[in-house]
Amino acid sequence: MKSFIKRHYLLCFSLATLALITASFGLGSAQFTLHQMLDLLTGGGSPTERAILFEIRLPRIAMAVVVGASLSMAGACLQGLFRNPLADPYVLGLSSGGSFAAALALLFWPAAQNYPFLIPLSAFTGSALTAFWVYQAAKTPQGLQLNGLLLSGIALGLTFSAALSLVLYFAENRASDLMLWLMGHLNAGLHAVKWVALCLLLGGLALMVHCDALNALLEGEDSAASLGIDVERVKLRLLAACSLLVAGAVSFCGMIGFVGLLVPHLARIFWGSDHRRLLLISAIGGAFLLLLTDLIARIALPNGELPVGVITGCLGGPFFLWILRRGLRHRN
Amino acid sequence: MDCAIEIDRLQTPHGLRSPICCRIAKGCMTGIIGPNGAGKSTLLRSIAGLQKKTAGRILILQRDLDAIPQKALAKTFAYLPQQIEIIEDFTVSELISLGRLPHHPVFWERLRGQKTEFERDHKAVQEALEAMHLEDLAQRTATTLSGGELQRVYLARALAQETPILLLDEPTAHLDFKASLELLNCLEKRLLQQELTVVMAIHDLNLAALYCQRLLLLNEGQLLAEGTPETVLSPEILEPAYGRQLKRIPHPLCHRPQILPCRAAQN
Repeated sequence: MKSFIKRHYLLCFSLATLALITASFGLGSAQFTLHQMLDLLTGGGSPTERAILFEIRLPRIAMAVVVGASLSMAGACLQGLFRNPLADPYVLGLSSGGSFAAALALLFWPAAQNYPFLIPLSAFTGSALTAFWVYQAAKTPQGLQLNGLLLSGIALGLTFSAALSLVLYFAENRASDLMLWLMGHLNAGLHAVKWVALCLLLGGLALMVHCDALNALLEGEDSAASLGIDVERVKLRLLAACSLLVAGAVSFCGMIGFVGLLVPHLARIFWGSDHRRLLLISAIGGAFLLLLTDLIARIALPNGELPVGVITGCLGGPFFLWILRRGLRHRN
Repeated sequence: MDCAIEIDRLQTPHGLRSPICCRIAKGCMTGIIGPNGAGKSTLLRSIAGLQKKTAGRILILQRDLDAIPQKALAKTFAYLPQQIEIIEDFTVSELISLGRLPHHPVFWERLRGQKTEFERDHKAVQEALEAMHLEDLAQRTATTLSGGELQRVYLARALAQETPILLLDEPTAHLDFKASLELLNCLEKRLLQQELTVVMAIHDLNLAALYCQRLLLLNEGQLLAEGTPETVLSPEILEPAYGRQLKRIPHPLCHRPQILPCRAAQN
């Protein structure tokens, strides 16, 4: 059984995700059986039931899938690129940079109300600038300083979080909307899913195209360069692709932390660090994790629901500690 | 003498302070020797195109290094750095397959219909495994290997890259006697089978004397001597570089020069 899962990992994972998607459709404040759902799909059922299924649950589930996949692919890429298991869009400040820029656009750029693509665009600008800033801060003539990278990422992330709070302070009447967005949610609706999916498609494709280069970079930059990889150019492209993935996710769903840390790390433990596999598994695993946390967020409270970002944060924090502890023990 | 690499008044910001001119012959093993900090690695990195230079130029097979794109460069020579971060969960054959990357078409080339030659890749990896006697270890992961085995894996990757030139930065560092000899024997055998040019930085003067046809002696970023082991490995040339008294004796079997150190107290 174990070796079957290991060999047909993609199939097993996809099936599990499909099962979870079905469960997400069925569970919640209104419950549907499989039979009822099939009935609703073919046009039966009451209008209220159809509205719950297609207008409330479908956008959420689609959003969980695309956002989960985006964040974990970005995490897998950043961990590989910086050869550090602790790198992820959240820790490196990409998420904060992106959401700060998105919040600015939401509040002070009236055009963004009418043209929703302007929000991911400004989020992309924010996260890309943060990515390059963090990268430049950690670059020395001797190579990339990994400690410096994490520290400058954290510092920039904190700065942007503070700047966000400042923006919230001045937002007054829209502060509660923004607060909810910041905590991370998946309720942005189908029109937003479109934009996130587009970012996922472009960014994910760019990462998949570079998976060989990512593998070579695992051994260090000199080694990669001697294998014919234009290291600087590849790094720029990968950072841009990660920023795009993160931008899509944060601009509509706010800060959903730790998905990008947890999933690639687990995937690496079980299926190794070959990026040809890792990126795909991470994408599916990210979708799976976010579906699961969204399901918990919806059914944990008898009435009302929790923001999904809170749950991923609660799971991710302890996991982060566990990775650190494990790494430290390994070293001794 | 055909020339594989021609170095013309090369200078780098650190390491090679005075201009270096030399030519490296095709089809033989050239050793770069010298004390720590002499600029051996800098010279190799410069040839590999990884080191910024302040002056001079390098011709690789009669082409200017700066004019060759990165990927074409990786098909011209394989460079084995002194330190490689180990990818812990890759198997030996996966690690060696990385050497085939320069031969894979990139995305847009693939869109235009270029195909990856999987059979040729497979053959190259198999040949490299055999050349380095790694057939039995092919499915082992990197963490389960000894230092000597791992170094052979990296050398096998360089061979799988199928380049006319190999640049090796201290391939025998941290290896014991047996592992060093195994590695160099495999390399020499391969050299005899096909025309390969090998340039390696090496610390062990006696191994260099046994395996290299030509030696370059560097000290403090200057080229002190260049020639066959018999001419370069003489106490008069080596002593100023190493600052120690040295004795030279012929090897009892092959009569190549061997260098014996003297303890400071015995001066």
